[in-house]
Amino acid sequence: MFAAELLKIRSMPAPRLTLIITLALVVVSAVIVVVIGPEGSASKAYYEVPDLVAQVIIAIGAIVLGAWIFGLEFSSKTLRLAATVQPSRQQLVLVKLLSAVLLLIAYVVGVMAITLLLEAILASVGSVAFPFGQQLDNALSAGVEALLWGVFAFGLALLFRSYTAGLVATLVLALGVDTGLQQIPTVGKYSLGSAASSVGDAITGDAATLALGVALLAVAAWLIVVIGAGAARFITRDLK
Amino acid sequence: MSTLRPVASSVLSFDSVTKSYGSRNAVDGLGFEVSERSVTGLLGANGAGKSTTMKLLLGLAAPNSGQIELFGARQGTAAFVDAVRRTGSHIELPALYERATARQNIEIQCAGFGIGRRDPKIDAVLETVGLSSRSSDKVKSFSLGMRQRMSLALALVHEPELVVLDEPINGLDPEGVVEMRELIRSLPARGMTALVSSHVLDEIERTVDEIVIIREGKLIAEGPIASIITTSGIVLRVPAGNGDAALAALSAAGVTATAFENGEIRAETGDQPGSVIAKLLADAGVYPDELRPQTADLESVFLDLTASGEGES
Repeated sequence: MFAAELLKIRSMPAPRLTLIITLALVVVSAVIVVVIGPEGSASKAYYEVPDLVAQVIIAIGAIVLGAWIFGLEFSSKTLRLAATVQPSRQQLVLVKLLSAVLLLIAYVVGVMAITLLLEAILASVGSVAFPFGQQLDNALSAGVEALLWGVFAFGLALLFRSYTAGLVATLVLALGVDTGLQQIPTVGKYSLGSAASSVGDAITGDAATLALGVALLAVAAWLIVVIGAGAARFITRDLK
Repeated sequence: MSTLRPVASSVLSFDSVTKSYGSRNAVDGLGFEVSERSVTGLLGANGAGKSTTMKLLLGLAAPNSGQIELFGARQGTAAFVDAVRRTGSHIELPALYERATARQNIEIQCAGFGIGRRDPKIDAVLETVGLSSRSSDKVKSFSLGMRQRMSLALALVHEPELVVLDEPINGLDPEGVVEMRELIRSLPARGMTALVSSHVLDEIERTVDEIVIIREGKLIAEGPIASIITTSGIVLRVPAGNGDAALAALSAAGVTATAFENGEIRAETGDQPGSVIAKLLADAGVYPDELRPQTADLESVFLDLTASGEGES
């Protein structure tokens, strides 16, 4: 069953397109930096601009891919097929979740590795020192946050039984609602965005809103609630 | 109408199965069996519960009450999950990965059953459904008929013991219909059992060994097709000018007969053999040019059975 999921990832254009678009945007940002040229010589902007673009795009790309893993079956109405190949719904959810995590890790690591290489080249072009260790930490931090949002998107697509609904709901939460949640006194710091940022900050060594242990617990709680609710709905309800 | 058959050879059985959606019973106390290595037709009007029945037997929907056994495994048990993997199915519209090629769709299905990408079964099933030349094309470019063929390929490629096909000839051209019929008819010889639903009764009549007819989720007839489509009379042709004499002789013998403009006379002879009618006519000086049993077709039987209960609660 797991082999079938890997084959879907290889055969369908969505994962490839997401990777290509992500890298294209990072490369475009790099070209713009080189063509326009940052102000002042030896500017950090040579590598910081593509880094920033990669951090934003990789989060969106991870959400697209996370929602796609189950959303593919809903949008192409192939869930009946998948559920007769693997009639145990619990196992089907687990296999899909594992596939999502592996796909997201491959995507994040691939994009970040290429972005780091590009940043090093740009730093050389701009004749600035490239702080590899610091940029690697930034990449890991952004990658982990993207991974968490991707897994969350997986859960929402499963819960809503729709690729589009899962994707849009996660984007709205990540890009808007979560910021609002963070403004709520006392509990706002436990929002998924805040907790994920705290996990990222622990990697870079920046000051975090939550301690790493608490942040991990908050993230786990968000993921367990959403994926658990989606899985419960998927396991107990009839398939159309 | 129902016929008792040995239960030992049954691969699938429904026993008093009910499935409700809200206050409506899509399947209502349904009970039937499917014999091993048979081709069984599941018939019913729109909304009779055919697709729900198929979803129930595949574990895609759970019954509210009653028991379903698939290869001896009861629904709701771990063994039932394994039993579902011994089936291949095509339910309602073909479910395919549109942006993948025909071959990739089959490879994905095979991977789920531990069959490798280079296994000869893949080429064989593409050949069987007539899609070898289009195996590299994306499914999104396929016509409905080609999608039906693809869906059938997915149902067959892992060589399941029970093949469940819902409206398999939808969208097929006449040549495709004949190929599909021959393919379904060949399944028992390959060790498979088939459960097929279709609205095209003429095609079902030519394809299946046994039929299960349901109306409003309830069983109204089950058994070998030959026992359900019974001989109900005799059709005869008599030389020109002898029609009235033949009708008079049949009427005198208490046989209801009707003459048609095409020269045929249809006689409701009940259990009387054709030889008795031939003698009766000969005694009246009428020698028929043709005399054959009048067989009710599946369509008339189906319409009879499904209409007879209308208005019942």
